[in-house]
Amino acid sequence: MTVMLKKELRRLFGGLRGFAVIAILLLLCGLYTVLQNMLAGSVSFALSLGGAFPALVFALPLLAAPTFSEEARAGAAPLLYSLGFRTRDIVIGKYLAQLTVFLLSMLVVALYPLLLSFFGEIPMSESYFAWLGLLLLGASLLALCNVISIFFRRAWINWTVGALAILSLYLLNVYLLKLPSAPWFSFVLLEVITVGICLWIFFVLGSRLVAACAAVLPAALALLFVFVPSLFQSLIPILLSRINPFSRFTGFIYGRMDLQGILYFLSVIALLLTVTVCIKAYRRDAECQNGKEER
Amino acid sequence: MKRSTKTKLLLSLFCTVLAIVLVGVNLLAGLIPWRISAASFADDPVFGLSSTTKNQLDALGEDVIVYLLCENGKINVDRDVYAFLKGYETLSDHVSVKVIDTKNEPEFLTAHGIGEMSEGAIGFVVESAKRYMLLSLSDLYYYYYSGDETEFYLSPAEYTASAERLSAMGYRMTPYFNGEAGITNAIRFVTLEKVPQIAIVQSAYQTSDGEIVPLNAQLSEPVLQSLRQYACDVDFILNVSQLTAKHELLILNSPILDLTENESNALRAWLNGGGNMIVSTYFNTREQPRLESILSDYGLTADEKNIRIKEESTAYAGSGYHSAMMESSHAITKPLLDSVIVSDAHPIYLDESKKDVTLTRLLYTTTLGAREKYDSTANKWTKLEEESSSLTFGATAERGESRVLWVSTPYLFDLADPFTKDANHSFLLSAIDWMTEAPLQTVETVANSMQSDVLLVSTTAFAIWLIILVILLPLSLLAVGIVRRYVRRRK
Repeated sequence: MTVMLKKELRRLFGGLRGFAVIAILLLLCGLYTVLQNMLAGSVSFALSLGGAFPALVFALPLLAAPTFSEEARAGAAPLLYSLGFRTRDIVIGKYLAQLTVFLLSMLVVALYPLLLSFFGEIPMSESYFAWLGLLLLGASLLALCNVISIFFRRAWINWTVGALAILSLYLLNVYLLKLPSAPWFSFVLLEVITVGICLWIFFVLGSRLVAACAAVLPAALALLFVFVPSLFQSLIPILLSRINPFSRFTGFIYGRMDLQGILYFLSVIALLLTVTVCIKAYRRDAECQNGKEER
Repeated sequence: MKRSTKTKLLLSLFCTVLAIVLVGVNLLAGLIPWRISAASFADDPVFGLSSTTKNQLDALGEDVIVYLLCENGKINVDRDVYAFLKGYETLSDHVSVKVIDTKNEPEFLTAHGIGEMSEGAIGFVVESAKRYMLLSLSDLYYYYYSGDETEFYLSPAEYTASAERLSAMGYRMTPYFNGEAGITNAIRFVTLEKVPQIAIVQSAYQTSDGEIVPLNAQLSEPVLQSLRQYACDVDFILNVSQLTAKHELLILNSPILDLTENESNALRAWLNGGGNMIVSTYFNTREQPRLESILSDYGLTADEKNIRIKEESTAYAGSGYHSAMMESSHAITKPLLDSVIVSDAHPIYLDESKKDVTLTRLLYTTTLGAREKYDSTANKWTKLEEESSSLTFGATAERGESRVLWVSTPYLFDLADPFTKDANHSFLLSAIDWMTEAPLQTVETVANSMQSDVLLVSTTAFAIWLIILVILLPLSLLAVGIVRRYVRRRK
């Protein structure tokens, strides 16, 4: 894993990408800080960070987009496996390298409250809790972009899909309260999701038995809806507010430690990395086969 | 089963199990107490709680629930207000905070006599086993201006309605968070053994044009809020026939119309049963024979319509207001540090021949008081031909267990806004205190200014840091990247 980490860091800082990502993050965070705090005179550095989400939309997918696509196109996977790299080492090593780049930019951003303190009284605990929240948010979105980059072989497609995914999550947080709170809406959406899972298990995974077992879920939901419809009142908005990373980020901008938020972000990172490892592990044979053909 | 299918299933199962475990861990994390999971490392200067509240909560002996009413429940809750309320929970095991989704829990609103809340509105219900109290978000904030020998307060609704005009006039209002006074007093109110039960007549009629015309003068919202903070249970009734034995005090504020015969009988019976009354009248709406008959039972009478007092000695130039001379030994006026301020009062006369009544002349003019009568033909006020004398415009009468306070102007209560006229406000509270024999107290806390500090950055410093942070730093990083890429390619 350490070897992969060093390799990735050399790749990121050996060219333009790593520096470009840091430049984008510092440009947008710096711009918001200068406009919100220095020009408008606001003492709230937390709000400046909260407004810098475009930095995440552009920079994080840029960091993660070529992660696996370049490797697939170059046919490097078989070589890595033959050198003894495990899938887990590859995925986590790459992720840690990207996280290092993001962390370096965040370390520079961490100096901004100290800079602003020369011009007035800045609430330091509020500022650094918000900084911690942005760090965790960025780390979890980076993990999401890594999952996305597994599926496509073109970096520009990975970047586009990643950026759209982050933007969608942000807009979902903004328009969360506009979603219908009626029980039928939540029920229909959950039914669609659970039926989709059953069909995916049946057609993609190819297991009729497991699909049949999973069919209990939509059936149970239907029964619940019939007997206890109030359970579905505002269920989707509530669930989305709990799982949307941008919703969880707002807990960090009020000057208080959000232990539940920290646990949430760490859970998301762990889950997404695990999914990435599982998908990559499953594709290992196919990659090795493709690598041989390309050679 | 093919190996690939088996692998897919195993990997999917593993991810599913991991997701379930992580969801479970996060749900368990929700059980961590608020004071640990959302610890603050610095005292909140605006939304924090003072030692006054800590002492009040230490003495709390019963459970109190503070409900935060909010559309869409916890998703939409104001985090500052939520953290503020959670502070009470942290300080006392007897206090718990719950969020009510006003959109999806209408039965809660109905049970507490709350109508439909407007979109985005936030409210509070503080409840104990004994009683509950309703507060709105505007009860927790106010706006204050001080400068140019002027100072005044506005509620959030008043500020919102006049923000543009105030800004154009150059009044920069400072917002203050006064939530601690609201919630701490509410907790105190709902846990008191006994609170005075006050009935206030508040009635109106609708004209054919749809206009609502009040049938009596209204006590302002700050005054009503103050009564709640001083632990009075206020009941609004349409007319005096709705008085019950539970009511200890009636406030009849300048009714336009006279009592009906039924109302007169009901009021007389209620007063004879030991009820107390604070009544104000207006010179312009005299000729209320039934009300006057009840007051005359207490030895109190007045002039005919359209006669008012003119006080030259203590008048505020050009304002029509004057300060009152007060009976210094009476329980109502004795505690007052300043004189009450009134205008447009009419004379009240005390019938000392009434044997079963103890009369006290409470508020009066100097010896330079005079009566003037309104001449509708000439459309002007004419001083009545008589020597100046001291005229009474506020008097108390005690008959048996019943007490009556008559003030011959509604402007005394108009000016009882706790923010503007201290003596008038204190007079009203003192009167209620005397009538109900309940010591009215409030938990005094300090409101916190919400005016945030401002960073002072000179134009030069702004320009320098703009260039460094937005231009130099990113460009230099890009330049380094480009150079490294070029060097690598050359190799």
